[in-house]
Amino acid sequence: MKNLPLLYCGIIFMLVAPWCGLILASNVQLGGLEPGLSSADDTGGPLYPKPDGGLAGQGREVYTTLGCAECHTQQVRPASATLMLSQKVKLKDGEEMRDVILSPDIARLWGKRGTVPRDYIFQDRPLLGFVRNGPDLADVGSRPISAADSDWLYVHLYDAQAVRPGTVMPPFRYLFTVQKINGQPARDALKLPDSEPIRPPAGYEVVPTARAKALVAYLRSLKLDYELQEAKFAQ
Amino acid sequence: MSDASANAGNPATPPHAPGGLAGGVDAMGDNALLALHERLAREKEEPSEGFSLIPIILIFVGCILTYLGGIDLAQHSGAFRGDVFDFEWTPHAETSGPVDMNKLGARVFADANCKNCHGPEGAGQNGAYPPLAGSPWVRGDARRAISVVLVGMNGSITVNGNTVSGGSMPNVGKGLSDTQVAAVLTYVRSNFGNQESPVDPALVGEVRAQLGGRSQPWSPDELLGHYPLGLPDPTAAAAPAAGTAPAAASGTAPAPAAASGSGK
Amino acid sequence: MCPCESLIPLVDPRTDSTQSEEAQLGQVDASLRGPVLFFVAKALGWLVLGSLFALVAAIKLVNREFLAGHEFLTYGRVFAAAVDALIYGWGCQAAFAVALWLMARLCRVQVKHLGLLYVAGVFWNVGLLWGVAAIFLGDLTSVPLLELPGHVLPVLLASYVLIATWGVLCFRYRQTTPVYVSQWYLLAALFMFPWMLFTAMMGVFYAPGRGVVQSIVDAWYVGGMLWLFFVPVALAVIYYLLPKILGRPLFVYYLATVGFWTLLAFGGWTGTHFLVYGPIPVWMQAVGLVGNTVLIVPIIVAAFNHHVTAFGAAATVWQSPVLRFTMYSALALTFAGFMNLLTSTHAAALTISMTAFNVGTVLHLFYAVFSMAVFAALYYLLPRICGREWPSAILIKAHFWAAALGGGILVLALYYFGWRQGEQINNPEVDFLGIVKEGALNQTSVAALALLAIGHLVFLVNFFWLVASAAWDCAKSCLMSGLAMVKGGGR
Repeated sequence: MKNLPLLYCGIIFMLVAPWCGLILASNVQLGGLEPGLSSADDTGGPLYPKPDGGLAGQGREVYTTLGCAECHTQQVRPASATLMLSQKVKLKDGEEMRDVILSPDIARLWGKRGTVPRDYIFQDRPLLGFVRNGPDLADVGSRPISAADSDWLYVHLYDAQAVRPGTVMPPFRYLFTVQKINGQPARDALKLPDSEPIRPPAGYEVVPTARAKALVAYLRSLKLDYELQEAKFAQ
Repeated sequence: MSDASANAGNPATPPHAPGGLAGGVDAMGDNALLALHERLAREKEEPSEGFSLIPIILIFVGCILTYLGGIDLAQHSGAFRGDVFDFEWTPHAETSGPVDMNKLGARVFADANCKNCHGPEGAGQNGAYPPLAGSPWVRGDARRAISVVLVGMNGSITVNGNTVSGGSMPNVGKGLSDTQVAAVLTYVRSNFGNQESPVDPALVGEVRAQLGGRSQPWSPDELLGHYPLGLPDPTAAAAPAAGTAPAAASGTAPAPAAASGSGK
Repeated sequence: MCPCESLIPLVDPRTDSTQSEEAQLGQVDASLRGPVLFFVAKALGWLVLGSLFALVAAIKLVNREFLAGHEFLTYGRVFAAAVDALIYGWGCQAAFAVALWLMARLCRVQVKHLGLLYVAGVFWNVGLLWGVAAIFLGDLTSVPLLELPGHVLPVLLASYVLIATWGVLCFRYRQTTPVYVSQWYLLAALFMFPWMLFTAMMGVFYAPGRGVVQSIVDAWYVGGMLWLFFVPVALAVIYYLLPKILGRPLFVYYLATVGFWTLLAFGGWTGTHFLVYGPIPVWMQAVGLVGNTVLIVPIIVAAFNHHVTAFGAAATVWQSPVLRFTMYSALALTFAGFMNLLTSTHAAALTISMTAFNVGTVLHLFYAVFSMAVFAALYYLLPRICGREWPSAILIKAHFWAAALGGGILVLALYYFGWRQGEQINNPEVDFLGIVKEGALNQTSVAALALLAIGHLVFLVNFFWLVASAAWDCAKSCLMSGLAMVKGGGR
C-alpha cells in the first residue's frame, strides 16, 4: 500500500460509518421514545409502560448484582411470519394453524406479545440477557399463580429444586434467614415442601430477608400485560 | 535444551535472530519478507498464469453476496423504520381471514394448564378436579365460566356427582388475552359432549372490565349469586354465529400499527 | 519554531540504520524486553485466573450446590469475572505485547521512554483487578463484555492511550519503506479499539442511551471488539509468521489489500446479529445478519493466502510449534467465516438466538482464532527477546494439545448443543425443564475448560522457566564479568 493518507482516512471512515449507521441512528430512532397509548384510536387511555419504583426498583438492583442476567433473558421474541414458518410443522398434533401468529416464546406462554424498545425506556440499564440457561423472565410477573401458591417465587429462590426437580438453578439461601419459631410462625415464613434437605429442622422456619422481598417484588413487577401500538397481543 | 520439535523450517537456513533457534528458524529475514511482498503487491497489474482465477472467484462471491444482501436489506428490513419488528413486514398490510376459535382454544386449553387438571377429555378427576364434560357450570350464561377463568375460584362444589372439597382454581385467565379466554371457553363449550354457543371476545372484555382489578378468587356461592346455574344463555344471540371471530390483522403481513391484532 | 518540534528527538525511536538487519532486530527486541515480558507475565496470570473462573462457573452449572453458599460466588458473578479477566486481562494485554513487538520489528524502530509503558501497564492491571474484585463483591453491571463497574473503564482507556501511542509512533517513524499487511492490521486495530471502548463507555455508563439503545451500543461493541480488534491482531500475526518461517511468499499477496479493506468495512456492522429477534428494529437485525454474511469475502482472501501458502509444507507446519498454533488459528478463522455465513439466514438465526451457540461464536473468534495466534507469536518472540531457547519442548507440546483440544471441543460443543438447545426451545411441545436438565453441554464444558486451564498453567510454567533461566544466564555472565574485573583490578 503506497498511499498512506488514504490508509489513515480509510480506517477512520470504516469506523465512522457503522458508528453513524448503528449508534447514531439508534439514538435518533429510539433515543426519544416516550410512553405510548395502547392503540391508535384509544385517545384517552393510560400511557405505557409505567416506570417501576419503590421496592421493585431495589429488587432490580439485587437482580443485577447477583448476575441473574447471565442465565435469564428478558426479551420475548415477537410473533412474526418468519417465526411461524418454522413453527407450523411443530405445532401440536400436526395441526397447521394458519391464522394464529405465534412465536416459540409466546407459545411457551413467556409473554402474550413480543417485546419492543418502548418496553424498556424506563430501565436505567436494560437487562436483555444473552443466553437462556433458564426461562425468559420478561413476563414472569403474570405467570398463572394459584392463590395457594402465591409465594412460589420465594420457594424458587430458596431452593428451586423444590419446585422444579432436576433444575440447574442454584439455591439462593443467603437471601433468607432460618430462625427459631417463636410461638406463632412468622407471617412471611415460607411454606416449603416436606422433603428432607429443603425443609429446615423442626421448630425452625425460613423467612425472606429484605433483599429477597425486593427481588420478588421486582420479579412480580415484570409484566407484559399492556399492549402498545407497535406490539399487540398475539392470539 | 534445543530440540527438533522446537525448531522449524529449513535447518539449512541460518538463524537471523539473536536468540538462535528460538521458537523456530526464520526461512526469510524481515528485509526479504518486506521486499518480496512489496514486489508481489505490484503483481496485480500483470497476473501470471494460475493467479487470475482467484480474483474471479472473489468477484463472483462478492457479487452474489452483495446481491443477496441488497435484496435482504430491501425486502426484510422493514423500510428501516423504528417500529417494525418482523422480517416479513410489508407496507401494505392485508387483513386475514377469521381466527378459528376452536383450534386456538384447543391450544390454549393445553398450554394454559387447563388440561393438566381437568383432563384432556374434560373428565376432571374424582374428588380433586371437577369435570368440564356435561358440567352445568359450563353451560348457559358464559359470563359465569369467564369469571371463574379470570379470577379463579376457591371452595367446595359438586359437579355431576363428583364432589370437590376445598378446590382451588388459579386465575389462569389473568395472563391471557380476551381472544384467548374466549377461544378456550368456546372450545370447552363445544367439545366433551357440550353443545353451547361460542363465546365472543368482546364479552370477555366486558366481564374483565366489570371485575376491575379483583384478585380475590370467587367462592361458589358468591358466583352463583351472580350467575345461577341452569338458566338459558342470555348472551347467546349476540355472539357470532359460526364459531369465528374477526381478526384485526393478517397472518402473514401485520402492519406495525396493528401487528397481529388482538380481539379487543 | 513550533514547540512540538523540540519534542521530536525525544520520541524519535529510530534504530541505527547503518547496521545490519540482524543487529537492528536485535536492538528492537532488546529495547522491548522489559515491557513485553511485563505485559506477557500479567496477561498469562489473567489467562490462568480467567480459565479457573470459567471452570468454576461451568462446574456450577453441573452441580448446583457447588460453592452455592457464598453470595460472592454466584454463577453470574463468576462467569462475568471469567469473561472480563479473559478479555481485558489476557486478550487485550497479550494483544498489546504482540502488537508493540510486531510493529516495532516491522518498522525497525526501538521503543523509548519505557517508563510510561510500565505506568500504563500498572494502571491497566490495577484497574482491572479493582473491577474484577468489584464484580465478586456485587458491583457487576450485567452488560455483556462490560460487566466491570463503569468507573474502571476510564482507567483502562487512559492506560490504553499511553500504550497504543507507542505503536502508532513506531509506525510514524518507521525505517522500512515497504508497508507490510501486518502493519495495516495492527494500525487499524490500535486505532479502532479506543474509539469502540469510548463509545461503549459513554453509551452505556456516562451518557446512557434510552433503554435498548444501550444494548445496541453494547452489541456493536462486542462485534467490533471481535472483528476489528482481536481478529486483525490475529491476522497480523499469521501474515507475519507464516511466510517468514516457511520461507515462501504469500500466495495471493496482492489481494491482501482487498481482504484488509473488506474486513474493516464489514466488521463494524456485525454486532447487532447478537440481538436478532430481540427488541430492536428489524432493520438493525437485518444489517447485522448481512454484515455477518459478507465477512466471508475477507475470510476467503485470508484463506487463500494462508492455506495455499502452507499447502505442501504440512510437515514443516507440523514440526514447528509456532506454525502449528498459527495454522490452527488460520483454519479456525476460515471455519468461523463459514459458520457465520451458514447461520446468517433468518431461520438459522431464529434457532440460535439466545442460546449457547452465540457464546460459541464469541469464543471461537476470541480463543480459537485470536488466542491461538497470540500463542504462536509468543512462542516465536519470547525466545528472541530473552535470547534463550524454550526450556521444555514437552511443555510446549502439552500446551498445544490442551489448548487445541480444549478450545476445539468447547467451541464445537457450544455450537452443537447450542443449536439443539435452540431447536428445543423453539418447539413448544418440549418441556423447558427438560432442556434445562440436559447436562451434556455443561459436562463437556467442564472437561474442556479443565483441559484449557491445565494447558494455560503449563504455558505459564514454561514461560517463567524461560524467564528465570534467561535471568540466571544474565546474572551468571554479569557475575563472571564482575569477577573478571575484580581479578583484573586486584592484579
